[in-house]
Amino acid sequence: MKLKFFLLFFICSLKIFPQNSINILVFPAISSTSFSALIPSNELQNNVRIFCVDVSPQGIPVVIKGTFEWKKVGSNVFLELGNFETNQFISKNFCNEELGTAEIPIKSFQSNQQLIDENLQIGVPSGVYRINLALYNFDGTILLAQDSEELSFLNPAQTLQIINPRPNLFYDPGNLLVEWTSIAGADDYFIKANTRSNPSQSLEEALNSGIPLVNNKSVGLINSVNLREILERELEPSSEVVIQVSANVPGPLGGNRIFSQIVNFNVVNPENPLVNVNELRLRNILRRLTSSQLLALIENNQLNLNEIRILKEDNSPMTIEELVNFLESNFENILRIEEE
Amino acid sequence: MKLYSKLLLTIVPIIIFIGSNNIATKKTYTAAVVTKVIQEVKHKSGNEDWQTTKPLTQLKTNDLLKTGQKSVAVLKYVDGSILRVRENSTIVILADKREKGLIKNTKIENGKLVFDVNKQSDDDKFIITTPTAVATIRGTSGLIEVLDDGSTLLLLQTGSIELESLGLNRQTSVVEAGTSSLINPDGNIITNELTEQQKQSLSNAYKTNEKTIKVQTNRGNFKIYYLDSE
Repeated sequence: MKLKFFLLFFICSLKIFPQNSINILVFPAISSTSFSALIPSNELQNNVRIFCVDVSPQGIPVVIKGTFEWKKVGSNVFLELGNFETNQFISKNFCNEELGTAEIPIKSFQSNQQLIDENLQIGVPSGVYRINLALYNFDGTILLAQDSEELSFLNPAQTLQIINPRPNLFYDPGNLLVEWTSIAGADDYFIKANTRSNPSQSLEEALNSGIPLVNNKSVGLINSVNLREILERELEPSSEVVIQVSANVPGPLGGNRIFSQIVNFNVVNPENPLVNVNELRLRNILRRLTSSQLLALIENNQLNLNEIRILKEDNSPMTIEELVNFLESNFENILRIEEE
Repeated sequence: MKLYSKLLLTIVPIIIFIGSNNIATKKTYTAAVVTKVIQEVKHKSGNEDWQTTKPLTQLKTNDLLKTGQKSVAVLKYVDGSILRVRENSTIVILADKREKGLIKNTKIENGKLVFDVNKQSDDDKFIITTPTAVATIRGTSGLIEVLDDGSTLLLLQTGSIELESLGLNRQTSVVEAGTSSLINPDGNIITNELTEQQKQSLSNAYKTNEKTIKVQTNRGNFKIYYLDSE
């Protein structure tokens, strides 16, 4: 009976006063993964802080072994991106950029270049990344403690995406709403826009050549802006424009900048008698809603918008311009379009 | 030996007490009634299949409710508080009747909801739990959203809320009307003033009154359905 009580008390004591421990703290705001930062070496010190490690006890000679794994989106298995082992060092709390320094020298590291290339081709972090660290005694033969942390990038919404304008579509220069997805943790968004002088120019070249229409203008913590309100020079009618949004995510070492895709679109000339600006705006807003027969009729030029009749809930009339304004400003609350 | 006996005498009643509370939470209470359904809303109890939710559906402890794309459910709690569950959201009802008062705990797994919570008595509590935060609400209105990375965004329109983060850097904070709070998965709470866009988003999220615009053409008539203020 005494023995049972002693064991119970001993187990409780172990829980309350852990002898050896290693705890990984990852920075969840990280949204672009530098793979050099995940694979440490003595030659290349990393400056991207991805994780920090809390080690206990401190001040004794230890060895740390680590692996970095990746689970692709849709896959059930983790594949090893790389692994490392340190030389013996005096235990202390540290962050990943200290691996490979004189204080925590690396004994060996290996990486799976094929998997790293695959990640780089995706361009943004995707799937689940797992960091496994194990704390060993001075000669690396006795495991003292271990910990594992995961970084998930399963939702594509974490990628900054321009929702509007849409590639290759035509827009009214007087009413050009730029809209993008939000990034968790962002504290500011920036807009860059430029004219694409000819179709042979790549979108990147077009964005970075000459004097931009908007030069990385800070717009604050919002998710849409009227391009007209931030233009630094006037839009040219009938021109093609490229645009990119970026987000600043604060974090260690000044944070991170996340970039959207570059979108190209066309600006119509409102003075062209063949252009019906309201029809253009209506087409663009209907394209953003779920597909409807109404859009199909407009796309196939089967509707004369001058001959349609629009009635509000109370049966009072509405002009096409009022309808377009309403749809643009209440996009979030449009449920569906049904044929009667 | 006496020490161990004392330890046991202390621990055992605590275990019994915790156990009794767990038993209490297994009882089910009708905590809310669905008063409005817009488009696709489903609910389920226990191991049952998901059922299409209709107005006047009663939601009990441990019931789940989810909304589809462009869908909204309006819930009225027993104390008259209103929750508007916006599109692509999943919530769990975790009401628990105590000797005094009722703990109304709504867990939001994903999506967003707008709350309009009546003033609670000293014994009552209205709690909204997210993957990264617990918000204790007493006579307050606002919006709570679970973002894609699990962070919680709280936009507070009126009143104040006791907010507790659940991450490693666990923090507590009392947030006031007119502010937005972002609670990161690591437990940090970042509070700022509401931006104009957030105010607009808050105002839009209150709209649950379905209305239509009629478009009459020579190729047929169409109805555009939209949400407006009540």
